[in-house]
This record gives sequence, C-alpha cells and structure tokens, in this order.
Amino acid sequence: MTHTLMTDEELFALVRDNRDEQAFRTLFRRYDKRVYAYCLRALGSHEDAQDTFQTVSMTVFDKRQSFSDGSFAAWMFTIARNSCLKALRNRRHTTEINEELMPPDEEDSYTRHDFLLRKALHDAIEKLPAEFREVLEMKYFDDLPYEDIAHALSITVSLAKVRVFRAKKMMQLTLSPILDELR
Amino acid sequence: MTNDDALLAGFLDRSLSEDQLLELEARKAASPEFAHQFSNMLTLETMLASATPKVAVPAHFLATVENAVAAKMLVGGASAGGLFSGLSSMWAWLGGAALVVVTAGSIYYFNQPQPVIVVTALPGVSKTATAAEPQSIPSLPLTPTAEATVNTRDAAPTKSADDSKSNDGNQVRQDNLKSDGGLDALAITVGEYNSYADENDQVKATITAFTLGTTYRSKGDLGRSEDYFAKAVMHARKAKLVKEEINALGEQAVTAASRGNETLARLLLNQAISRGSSTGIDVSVWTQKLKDLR
Repeated sequence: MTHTLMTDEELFALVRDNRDEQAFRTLFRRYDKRVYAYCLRALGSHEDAQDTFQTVSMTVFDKRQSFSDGSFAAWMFTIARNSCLKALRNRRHTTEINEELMPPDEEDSYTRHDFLLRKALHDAIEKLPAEFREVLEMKYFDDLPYEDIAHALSITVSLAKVRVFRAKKMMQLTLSPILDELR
Repeated sequence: MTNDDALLAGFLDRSLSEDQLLELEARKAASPEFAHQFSNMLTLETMLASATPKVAVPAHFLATVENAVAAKMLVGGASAGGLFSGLSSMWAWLGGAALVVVTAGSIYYFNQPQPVIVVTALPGVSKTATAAEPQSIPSLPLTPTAEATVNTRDAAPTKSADDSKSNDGNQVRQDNLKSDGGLDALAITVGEYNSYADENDQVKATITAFTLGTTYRSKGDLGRSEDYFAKAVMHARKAKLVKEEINALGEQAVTAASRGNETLARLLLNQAISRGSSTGIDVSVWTQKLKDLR
C-alpha cells in the first residue's frame, strides 16, 4: 500500500517499528503546519513556536515506543499541548504579537467584509474563558474530532462536546447583532 | 444543558436521530425564540467553519526539522544500541554533529529573510499577552491579513494623481503626488506608506494609507482603495486617532458601496457611527450616507 493511503496509525507503526523514512515524512507533512499553527497560536511568537515545534517533533519520535493504540493525532496534540504549557510556564516575560506574523507580500484573498466578520469572530473567541476557547479552537482550527480533543485535554468526550457548545452559545451572545444582520 | 440545548448541540454535531430531528422542527415551529437561536447558531457554525486562522508558516524551518528528525531516525537505525542510547556510539556522535550543523544552519537561516506559506488567518490586533502558570492554552490573536505590509508591487505605475481629498495630512501627500513629475508618484507614496508601517509610525501610516485609499479610488481601482482605507482604519486605531478612524471607516464604506457591496458598506458605516456616538464626534455625514444606502 502506498504511504499516502495509510492511516496515521499505520504510518506511525512503520516509523516506530521499522524506522521507515518515507512513512515518517508522509506523516510529518500531514501535521507539520497544523502543529506549527497550534504552537504559534498558543505561544504568540514565531521564535517560541519554532522552539516548541522542534521539541514536539523530537519528542514524538523519541517517545514513539510509548504510543501503542488510539489516535495518533490525539497523542501528538497532547505532546504539543504539554510542550506549549511548559514553554508558557518557563516564559516569565510578555510577548508582543506584531506584523511579522503575516508575510509582507501576502495578497488579500478575501473581501473586507469577510475580514471584518472574521475579526469580530476572533475577537469573540478571544473573550471566551480559556478552557472554552481552547476546546473550540481545537475543534474548528485544528480540526480535531471530539475524541482526540478529549484525549489531549484529559477530559471526557461529553465534556468536550459540552464545552464546545457552551463556547458557541457565549459567542452567539457576543455576536448577536452581527448574526442577526447576516441572517 | 436544557433539552433545547441538547437538540441544538446534537443538530450542529449531526448526531440527532430522525425522531430528534422531528422534535427539533417541532420546537422551532412552536418557539420563535428557539427558531431565532437556531438560525443564529447555524450562521455562527458557518462562520467558525470558514474561520481557520491564517498563519505564515516558515516552510524552510519545517523542512529543516523534518530533515533533522529523519536524520536522527536514520542514525538511530544504523546504531545497534538504539536511538541515541549513548554518546559512546560513533553513530550517535555523528548524528549529534549533524544536528549541531542543522541547528547552526537553522539559526543562520532564521536570521535571513525567508519565504513563508500561508496555511491559515487569525484576525486580531497587536496585543500583549502574559502567561504565568497556565492550565489552558491561552489564545493569542495574530495579525489580520489586512495588516500585512503592502508590497511594492501594490504600486501600479501611474503618471498622475490629481484627485485628492481635502484633509491636512492628505493635502501634504497629495501635493507630493502632484509635484513629482519624473518617478511614479503613486509608487513613492506606497513606498512611504511601507516605511511608515515598518517604522510603526502609526500617525503617518494612517495619513498615507488614507491618501492612497482616496487616490486609488479616484483612479477607479476600488479594490486597492478599500484595502488602503482598511489599513488606515487599523493604523488610526493603533494611534488612537478616533476622527481619522471614523473617516477611514466611512470612506471605506463609500468605496465598498461603489463596488456594490452594500452589506459591507452598511456594516462599516454603522461602525463609524457607533464610534462617533461613543466619542462625541460628529458623524452626520456618515449617518446620511447610511440613510442614502437604505
């Protein structure tokens, strides 16, 4: 079977048991941008995100024997989350988010309207309590299923669902004027 | 969760049975309030599904890490004692050396300008975040696409720019545009804007972006005009120039309306009016524009 058709778990088994380089590269490229984006969102600077991403990549490989079953994505995001929390604990200073986070020559592909809606949406997400925001972002931005979110956060699946729903209800209140207009 | 919440949550997660779907429809029919909430939640769901943030991912960095881990894996495969089981292994020493080289290369590399891939966008503004013993990952807003520095290719070659708006700061810039006969005046102003934005000079960046918005509109380039008015709004907010922010919002709305996007125009005008109302600034001109749109 070609590597691209394999599941994450099948690929990782090849990495773990056979040190299959192609399997590793296929798996790495499935998740590298998502994990990097996760680190960047959590840590707020490319410098910290790069350090942590490197740590996560190495840890996933170093700890490969400890992964036996379940979802590879959930396991990896658990490592990513723990690494980000550790980085945040070690960081005693504030981090400035600035224009560097976008490429200078990035063309705008969506309209101002989209932009304003997205801005309002992300402002609303930012106002959510941390435990609700985190679960919502994992669901919608990291595209993780509830089972993986629950695993990564060490909570039950039903609690993950409840948190996502409550987060959306809170956002609905914040965004109600916009939502009413868009209806 | 109430029963209504359970129905709503189940519907959004596509986990309702047929009976529950019928129950949901019955609830919507019986309660306009619930139907309203249902509709808003659906809209929110759509927004969330398409709101994956854009992040400038350093492609070379990811490739470097990928190669480093692959190298580590291969080195581990060659050594009998397992992966980096001890530095007494020659392979481990070689692997370590290779990693040092990769790391040094990375350090050099990240001090150089590098290409990026955009995979996702998180609108927001520059903010400061503090983290002490977090139990949850805090989310930090990233820079919206509209804040991206304008590339010089934004400057379309033009020879004249004489349609200007009367405004102190604008007038200075428009005079520059008019007086420059040899080089592309618009390109110079775009260059100035880029410099001000790079230098974080929010006041000058506001004025220049506003001017560019006006100039591009006069040339019929409504897309760029709208972009620059949006940038003017952003810089004005950072500089706390409320009047300029309101004017830029209003002008962006006018451009949006010219482009036929009246929904956006109304949204922007409402923002301008709301901003004016909360700060005591006269926004009658924008109120009138909003009425005209209706």
